[in-house]
Amino acid sequence: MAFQAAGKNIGYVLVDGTEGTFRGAVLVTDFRGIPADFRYTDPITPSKIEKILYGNALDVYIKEELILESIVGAVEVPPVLWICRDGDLLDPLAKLAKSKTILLAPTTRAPLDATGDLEKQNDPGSYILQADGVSAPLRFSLPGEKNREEDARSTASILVEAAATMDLLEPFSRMGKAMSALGEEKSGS
Amino acid sequence: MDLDRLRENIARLFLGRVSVRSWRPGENIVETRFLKRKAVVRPLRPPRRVLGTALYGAAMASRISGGPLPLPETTQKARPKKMALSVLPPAVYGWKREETAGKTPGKVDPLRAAPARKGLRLIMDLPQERETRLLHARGKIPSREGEIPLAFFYPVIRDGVAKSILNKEKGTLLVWYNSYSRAFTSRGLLLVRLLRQGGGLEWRWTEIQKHS
Repeated sequence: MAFQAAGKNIGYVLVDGTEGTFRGAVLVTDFRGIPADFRYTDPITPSKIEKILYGNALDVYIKEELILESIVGAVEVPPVLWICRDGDLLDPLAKLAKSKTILLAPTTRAPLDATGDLEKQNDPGSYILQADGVSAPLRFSLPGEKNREEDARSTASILVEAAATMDLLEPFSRMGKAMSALGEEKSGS
Repeated sequence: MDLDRLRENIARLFLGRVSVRSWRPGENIVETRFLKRKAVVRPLRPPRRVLGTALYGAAMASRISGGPLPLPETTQKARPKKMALSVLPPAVYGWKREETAGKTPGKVDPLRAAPARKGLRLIMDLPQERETRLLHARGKIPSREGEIPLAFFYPVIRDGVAKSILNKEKGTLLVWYNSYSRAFTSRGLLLVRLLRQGGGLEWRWTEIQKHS
């Protein structure tokens, strides 16, 4: 497994739009969580008039068309799997990315019987996966409405392989810290 | 009590403090209004604009301004224009690690020189944070007599760890990996309290017992 894991990467996407300022980042790590590629954007603050004119559509435009396209397009180390934690980004990310894309979230459910166990959920394309033997199962969702069991199984095998050597959700917290530190640096300079 | 004396005293107290104003009829006549008001009715639809009756005299009354109703066939087609946002695609900064195959691993390749400031190395320098998984690991990690497990951190690449610190406030383990390492085998790191005399804490690498 160790030899298989080497050379494989996971891409994490984070787009933040709190307090009227938008910024995004992509972190590609190997299966140990060690960064291989990192991209981030300058913060974007739309003007008042733009907010009034475009309303909610502005958020979508900035997040999906400006930030997501820019950061995903800039990545040079291709991941085998893209992970986002914002449901709104799943479908647009799937359109841009050349590899599998999922929405990943923690659960507080009791562990499933064995590592690799997969449980289909009522939401279309949503599954519960026991990624490793010592944690609560994770919930992942596939993009689109189609319920593809085959895609779910292949995605689950990637997640199980990576979970043996890294914490699958941890890179998001590192990205958040890096983005806020970069934001502070920018405002302080 | 002598009432006359009391009156005199009060009169002294208020002497000069009461001002008397005069009023003559004809000045500031009180205006009387009726509570009943006449309601003015205004149509919500604006009246047809007939030119001439007011401005040009009765002879011009027949000149009515107007035109066909705005039916889809008669109206000019609207030409939607995409309003250009002043929000431009953001500049993307970052770096990537050079491919390790046959080269020096871990070398940082800044994408743009100008913004490749110290913040770019930030993500590389940030540790990975592991939360304890003791709750789910009970019965799956070997336990010894005379000790109480306090925390279990998993997965940790033992041969790749450059530095690790226990965050006592949050109960998490901060792990810095050596990015030059090629190790990929993970283990669990168990923290136990020893009950024997002298006691103390002990860290121990351990495997997860797999159940079939």
